[in-house]
Amino acid sequence: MKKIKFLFSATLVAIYAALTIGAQEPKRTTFDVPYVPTPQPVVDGMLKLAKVTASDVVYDLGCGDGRIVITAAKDFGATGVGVDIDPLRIKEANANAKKAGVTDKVKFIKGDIFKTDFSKATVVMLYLLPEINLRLRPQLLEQLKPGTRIVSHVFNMGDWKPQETIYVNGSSIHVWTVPADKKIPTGEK
Amino acid sequence: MKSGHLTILLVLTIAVCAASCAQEKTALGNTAVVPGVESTAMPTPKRDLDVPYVPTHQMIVDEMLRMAEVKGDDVLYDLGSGDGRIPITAAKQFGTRGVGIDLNPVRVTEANQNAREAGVTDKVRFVEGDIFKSDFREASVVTLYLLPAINLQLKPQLMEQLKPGTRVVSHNYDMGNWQPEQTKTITTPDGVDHFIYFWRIPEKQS
Repeated sequence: MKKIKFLFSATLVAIYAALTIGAQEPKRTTFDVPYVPTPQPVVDGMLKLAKVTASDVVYDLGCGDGRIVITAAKDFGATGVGVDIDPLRIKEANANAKKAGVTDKVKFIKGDIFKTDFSKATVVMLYLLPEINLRLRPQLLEQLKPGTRIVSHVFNMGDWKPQETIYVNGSSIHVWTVPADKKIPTGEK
Repeated sequence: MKSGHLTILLVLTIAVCAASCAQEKTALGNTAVVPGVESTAMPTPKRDLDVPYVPTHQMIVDEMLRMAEVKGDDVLYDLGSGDGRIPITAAKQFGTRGVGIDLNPVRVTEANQNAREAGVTDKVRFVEGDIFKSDFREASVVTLYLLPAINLQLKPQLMEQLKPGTRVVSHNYDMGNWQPEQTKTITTPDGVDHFIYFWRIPEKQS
């Protein structure tokens, strides 16, 4: 009986230890956006909707484990840059790029997207939050060249209506193109 | 003393579990429901889709047909036919007979509806099916807008089934080391560049 009790508590200690160690690792509570990886079919959908080809430079703002930029390079031949505020994610993304053999095509930078220069992008990928998209909107319009595509998984851009929306496995993907005058089109509200 | 320890451990374990679950929920909660789309009443595909549905701009459709030199006596197969615009355009413009295959029954219904509206139901046919299990031997032209990896996966099947000389056109994605006979860049009015690749099935090597 005593032995069983001991085993039981030992198991609990092990579970507790595993959980606390696991829970400490991401330290995500201080970030603006929780890290939720995008499923691969959605990644493919984002890249197809953005019409990504070998001539594109894809920036992923909040790149997590780098899967969007890595797929863009590996399958679509594009070059890409991923930005994430969590150094752990950057480490992971670099390891994944190495595994995929695309380190010559992609780069991952630890940084705050609100302080990042992404003016070289021809495609920008987002999976942030509604209010973060809105906060980022002026910066996107200011920095990006006309014709640059912005793709957002799930979240929209307030009164800037997307040009096209597709659905993959029930979740929406939106695309906007930076207009020639770099102003949000009016009369579409 | 011991049971006190156990209680603390249990409470902590539950608390950690609950916290991580809650975190996941707040992150995912926003993604769960998309209003007005793919309602539960709609038929669903027999298996998960390999390829996201992105309609092809009409300018690209026209150019794909031009590059493949589609004529009235061709048989056009569109693999992943979506709303049917490629076979329907070919039927309307050249009287071409066409078949569209799509894994998503919603798209097939839509394409048949569009064919009716265009008055080309005698020329085109849309079927629900998996392109990897389809027979498209009778095609003289095949059109594609899939994904780079899916093109590569499909290549052996194209080579096996299609007669030498059959034309294959693909929007945006190439076929790896199979060099296209022709490549064209088209810029749509939104300023986005599109690529169209054109191949001819080579003579079979015996």
